[in-house]
Amino acid sequence: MEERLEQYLQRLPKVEPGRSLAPSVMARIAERERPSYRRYKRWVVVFGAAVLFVLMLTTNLPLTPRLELFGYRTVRLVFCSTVRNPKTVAVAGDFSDWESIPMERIDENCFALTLRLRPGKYEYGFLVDGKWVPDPLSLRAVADGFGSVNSVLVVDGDTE
Amino acid sequence: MKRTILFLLLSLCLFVVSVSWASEAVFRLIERSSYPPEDKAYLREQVASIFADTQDASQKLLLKKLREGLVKNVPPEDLIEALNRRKEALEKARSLLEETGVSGRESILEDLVLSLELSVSPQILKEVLVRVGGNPKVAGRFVDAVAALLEVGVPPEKANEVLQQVLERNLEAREIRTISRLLERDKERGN
Repeated sequence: MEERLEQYLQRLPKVEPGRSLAPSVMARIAERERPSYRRYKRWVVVFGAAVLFVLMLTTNLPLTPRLELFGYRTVRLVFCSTVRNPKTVAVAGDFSDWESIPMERIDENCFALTLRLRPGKYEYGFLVDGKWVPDPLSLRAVADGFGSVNSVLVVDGDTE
Repeated sequence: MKRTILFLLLSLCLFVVSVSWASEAVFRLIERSSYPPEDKAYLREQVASIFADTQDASQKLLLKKLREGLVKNVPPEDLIEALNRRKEALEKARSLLEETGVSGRESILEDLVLSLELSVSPQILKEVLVRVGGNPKVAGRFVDAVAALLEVGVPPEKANEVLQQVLERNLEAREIRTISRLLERDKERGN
């Protein structure tokens, strides 16, 4: 049966399809509607990325990835309060954008915190039960313009 | 054409969102603080007028001072006074950089503002900037060295003197650094 069909097909005259065949076939195939969300997908992605980028640059939201691969130094701040047994001690400075970071109690009057900082110069101080206290161990300090003093921490770029 | 219009519209939205976000950031900071409502209202009003017409880098330095004041819970009047002083120092620093042709990188601007706030003579700072011939890197080193002198406890009038002598003797920023390093070591030894 297959052989006969093959022979029949071989005997058929060879006809070249007309030039209008492809366009007429394509005209009969209805164009499929692309879903609207797909049409704007690329724009939505571009817009989202742009919004994210602007927020990273203009706000302090935790959006910027902290690539702690190169250039960071480990700095340990220790503060021993002259006030007996303070309830809370926090540190605030340039490095935290002047947000207070609570410190860990290491004994009755002493608190510590380890920071990862890039080399540079930072003004900072401690908040002992909400009261501003400059670092008594710091060798550098500068008037803060509010009638008090900020300690200055210099993170060296040469050594870890 | 349709795409271009869409793109322009999106860009416009983005611009409006970012501008309003930046200006709102200042007020959000005040709202988040622990001041009583009447102090917050006073701060909002005063801060709005201080932040008006400020450029990007200046706004950053003003915002920094505002955050610092808020975290320290300083009286609102003192905070506004400090912000006004900073704004004045910023304007002075900017005009110094413009007059001397040094491009105002943020770090130089900050060190200049610090020196001016601590009463280092603008005239001497200008001489320093003129001497470095518009080189922002060298200018930065000089201004940073002056700031270091003040930080180790040299009074502003003495810092002025040191700076004047460094200029007269044609010395470099590293000489000022050496002085501040020696003073720092002295302090470490408890002298």
